[in-house]
Amino acid sequence: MRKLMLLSAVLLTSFALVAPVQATLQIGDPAPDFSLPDVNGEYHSLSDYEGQVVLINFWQST
Amino acid sequence: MPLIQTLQQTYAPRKLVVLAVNLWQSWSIIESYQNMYPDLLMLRDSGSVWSDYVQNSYIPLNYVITPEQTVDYFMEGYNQAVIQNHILNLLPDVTIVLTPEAESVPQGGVLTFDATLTNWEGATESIYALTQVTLPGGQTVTLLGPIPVTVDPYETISVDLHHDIPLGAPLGSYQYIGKIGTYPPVDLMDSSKFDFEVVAP
Repeated sequence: MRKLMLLSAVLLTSFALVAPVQATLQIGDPAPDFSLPDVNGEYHSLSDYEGQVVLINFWQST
Repeated sequence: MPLIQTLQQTYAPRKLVVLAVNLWQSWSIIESYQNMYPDLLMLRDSGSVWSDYVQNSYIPLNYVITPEQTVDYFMEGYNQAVIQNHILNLLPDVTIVLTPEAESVPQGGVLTFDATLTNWEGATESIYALTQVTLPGGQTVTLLGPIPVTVDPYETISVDLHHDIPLGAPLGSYQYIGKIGTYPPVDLMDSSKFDFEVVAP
C-alpha cells in the first residue's frame, strides 16, 4: 500500500512538472513578438510593424 | 486566402499589414501560394510562434493587432465582414506619409521631403501635425508644430517641406518623424518616419 501511495505521489508530481500551462492570449494582451522568414529568406518581426494595424493569419493548405 | 488578399489590397494605403503565417508546411507549398497571392507577405512558422498564439488548435486562426501591438480580436475560422469591421475600427481616419528626396544630406545642405495627408473618411477632420527629429546622440527635438490642419472628406494634401541643415550639425544617422492627432498630442492618430544621414560637405 505504501509503495502504491509513493508511486501515485511520484506520478502526480511528474504530471505537475510536464503539464502545459494554459495561458492562451486574451483580448487586450500584448501580442508576443516573433521573427519569421519569408519565401526569400528575409526575416520579418511583428515589432517591425509597430504603429500599424496588423492582421496575422495562421493558415495551412488543405 | 483570396478574401484576405482583397482586404490587404483595399487597406494597404491605410497602412494595414497582413502577415500570412503558414504552419509547418514545405516551402514549395508556401511559394506556390505566394505566387498566387503576391500582395500577401507569406511567412513560415515551424511551431514556436503558433505555441504562443494557439487557442483551440483550430486553423485558420486570425488575430487583429492594434498599432500598440496588443490583441484587439481573434477568430478561429474566417469571416471577412467581422474581421474587416475590427480592422476599420483601428485604421486611422487620416494618414501621414513622409517621403524624403534623398537618404543623405551634407552639412549646410537642405533636407527636402514630401508630406502627404489623406482623409479616408467622409467627414472633415481637424487635427494637429507635429514633426520631430532624433539626433545621432538620441536627443529628440521638435521642428514643426503642433500645426492645426483641416482635411476635407477624402482629401489628399501634399506639401514639400525643407529644413536647412546647419554647417555644424553632427555627422551621423538621424530619424525624422511626423505625427498627427489631437492636441495635446496624447491621441496619436498616425505617424510616419524616415532615416537620413548627415554627411560631410
